[in-house]
Amino acid sequence: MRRSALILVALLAVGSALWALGANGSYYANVGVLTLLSLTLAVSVRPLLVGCEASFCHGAFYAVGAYAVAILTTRTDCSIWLALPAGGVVAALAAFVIGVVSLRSTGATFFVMTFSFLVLTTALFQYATGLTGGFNGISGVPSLVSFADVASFYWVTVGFAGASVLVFAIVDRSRWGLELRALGESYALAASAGIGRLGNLLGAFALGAFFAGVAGGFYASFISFISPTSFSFWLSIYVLTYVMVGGARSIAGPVVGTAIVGVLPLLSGWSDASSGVFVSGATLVILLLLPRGVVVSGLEALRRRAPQRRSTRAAEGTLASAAQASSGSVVRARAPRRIDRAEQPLMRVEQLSKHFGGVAALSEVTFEVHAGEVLGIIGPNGAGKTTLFNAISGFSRPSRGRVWFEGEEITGVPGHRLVHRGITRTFQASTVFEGLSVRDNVLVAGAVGERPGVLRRLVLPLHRDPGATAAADRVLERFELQGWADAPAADLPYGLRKMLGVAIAMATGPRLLCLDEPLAGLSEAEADRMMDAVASLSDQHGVTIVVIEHRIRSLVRVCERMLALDAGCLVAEGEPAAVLANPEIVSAYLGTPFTEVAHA
Amino acid sequence: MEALQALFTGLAGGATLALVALGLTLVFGVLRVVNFAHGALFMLGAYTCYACTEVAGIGYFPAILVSAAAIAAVSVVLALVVFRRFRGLELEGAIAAVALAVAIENAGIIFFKAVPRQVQGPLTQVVDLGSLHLPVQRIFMIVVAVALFGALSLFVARTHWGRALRAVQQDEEAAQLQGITVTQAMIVAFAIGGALAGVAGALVAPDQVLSPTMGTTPLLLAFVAIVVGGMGNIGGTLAAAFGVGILQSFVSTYWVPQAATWTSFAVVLLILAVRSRRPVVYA
Repeated sequence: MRRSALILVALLAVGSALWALGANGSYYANVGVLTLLSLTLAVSVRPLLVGCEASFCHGAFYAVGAYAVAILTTRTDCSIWLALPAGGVVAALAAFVIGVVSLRSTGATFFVMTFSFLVLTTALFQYATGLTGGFNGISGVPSLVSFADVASFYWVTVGFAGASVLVFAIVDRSRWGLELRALGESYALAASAGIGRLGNLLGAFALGAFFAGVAGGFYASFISFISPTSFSFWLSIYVLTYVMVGGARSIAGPVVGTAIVGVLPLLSGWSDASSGVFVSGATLVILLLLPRGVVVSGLEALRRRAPQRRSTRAAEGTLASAAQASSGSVVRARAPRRIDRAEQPLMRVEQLSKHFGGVAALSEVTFEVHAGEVLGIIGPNGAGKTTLFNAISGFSRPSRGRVWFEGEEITGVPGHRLVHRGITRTFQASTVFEGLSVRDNVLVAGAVGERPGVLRRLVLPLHRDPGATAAADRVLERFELQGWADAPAADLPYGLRKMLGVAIAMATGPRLLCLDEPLAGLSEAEADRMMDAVASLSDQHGVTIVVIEHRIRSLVRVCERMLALDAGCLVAEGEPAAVLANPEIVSAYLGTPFTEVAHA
Repeated sequence: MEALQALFTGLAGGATLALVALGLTLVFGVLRVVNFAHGALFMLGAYTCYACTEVAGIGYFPAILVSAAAIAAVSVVLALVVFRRFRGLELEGAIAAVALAVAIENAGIIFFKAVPRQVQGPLTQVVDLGSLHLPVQRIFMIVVAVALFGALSLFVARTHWGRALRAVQQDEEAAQLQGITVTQAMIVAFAIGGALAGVAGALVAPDQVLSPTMGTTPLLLAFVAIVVGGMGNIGGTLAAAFGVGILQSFVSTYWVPQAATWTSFAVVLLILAVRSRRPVVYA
């Protein structure tokens, strides 16, 4: 992917350079500079788009950088070479401030907040006359090249744009790039893999703003005079169209998108209105034909055409072995582990309550989870089982009550932090990152134990990290998914998808694993395989497991203790046979007594 | 007195915003797509009114109805041709909507040129209460907006299609199981949204000079109204739209008109910042 992006940049640069040498040299170099600055804006707005938030103020960072450079170079004797990175830093700081406030929101609210910031900066340029010169603007910004010829400026810009593309291509292939993609797939699932949303998106926002700010500085230096009218309101939006036309999911997307819709208007000398019609018309037509953008939809079409026999065969093998593994109809309960009551419990939940409006989804639930056990949770739909999971795994804040883990209180600690402390949960729905390959699904969750350093996380190409890939492959093997490693997770059949969901959770190396209905929708054979996998996690790896499940037969095979919830209250707790014989459970949930438990 | 005058102007401005914002929030509720082209529909409504009264020579009140019907039709066509493609692709859908808005607006600039156009409405009287001047056109705007809001509330609460819209808004799959297809709900939402934008355009046509870019500011302020009022909440949207209108009017009256837009955005930024202090991340 990176190679194709570099090739495209090279093509763009060489193409423009050829023009620059031609008869109308300075004119085409002029176009080249502006195109390359657009390209920088497009690649730098992309990381946040990968994380699935559209910022509508990227043009504002460009303008902030331009004004910072103009003010520094004309009001102080700061050199232009020092002013450029300073402009980037000012823009990144602005992004940090606006991001801390706005990235707590998502979607339309985030849009309105970033847009508000764009309007406010424009107002600042217009009316803060003392600082920005108001409508008169700032003139005399020094040029980057001593002799103000356009061709040299063009070559400096080529270097800058090339460096920007390279930086973002490296980020794209790093662990952090993969984490941003995971966030773009699902914030909740990413959190359960230990990836927090706010910090990562803030980083993407600020890094993008830095490059936009430096690009703005280049622009100010290039045209030497800036005023509020230099920065079109539409710039922020055009930049997004460049990325979307090419496809946000590939680093080559913004490059191709800029080439398709960004170059022609500059070249043609059209009026603003004609350019607007062209950019928007081309964007519309391309998105209608290829909704994910030229590069991404194109690659998908190629991939679909290529045969995938290998992984299909491997999958058949897995399913066949799964079918063989299922045999024997007597359900055997595992012998209860002897629990040392004096020992500190792994988790202690104390009088936990959760209210939604006036409805008590959970009231005063108290229980303990002991190290090494498998604890089953049963109860009718709406009993509060998932609410309980959300509250103990940091996915929602309980209304009252407290949770301790390994002797420390963890009430209200966000879910992605709890993953790093050893608690991982799975979901009934949204179980895998559909847009990532099966291996990447596991890789992205694998950073929890090792805590890679910042530089390693940002720079090292993840697929060249032997430690990480080997660990991921081991997890895939344990769940018999190795034959699918390179397939997109979206292609997995349902049963294997559920398996991958547990594999992702397992890759985080948890001490306490909370499984939310791992068997829902599985066939008998698949359910048996899943329960075998769960049992081996407990037996061989010593993971403590809490599992919500409706399929009692499968559940009693693995669990040593059981809790029963009804209408938000804990109604029974103890050995599975005793809990299942409880008359209250029978009438509220089971209907008829469950008598098939045979003690091993 | 000055304050009352500003309040009245604000209510009239808020009325237009409310009509634009109600359509926007209805469409968002059904499709989860932010319809940036909604401002362009408002602009087309004003031009349709102009075409009816000044070119075709029919009366202003029938022209309002023609605008509503014409823009409803345009809106439904856009829904079927463009927006239906982007269900589940929120970012791409939003960008496609932006592209649509830019395309319509710039085509308008090329087609209509920069010639200022104005509609001569029949409601030219001004009611004077002491030093308070109330143009009848603006009273009419407020009355129509409130009446349409009432009609919309009744529609959503009481009728089959209104319930269908709410059902799709809450749970698309469950609604489909009840025999409501999303496409049907989408057509209803876009038709009503388009009609409201058409009426809004026709209402401001006698009150301001028409230009192809006249839809942008109302669109952005309508966004502010629906976000502050709560996405999909029509009562909150109405209140927020009047709030924005009144804020704008007071800033213009007591400070400078140029500050009206950016202060509105500064206020919304503050409101949203305070409201999102506790992150709701795992939605």
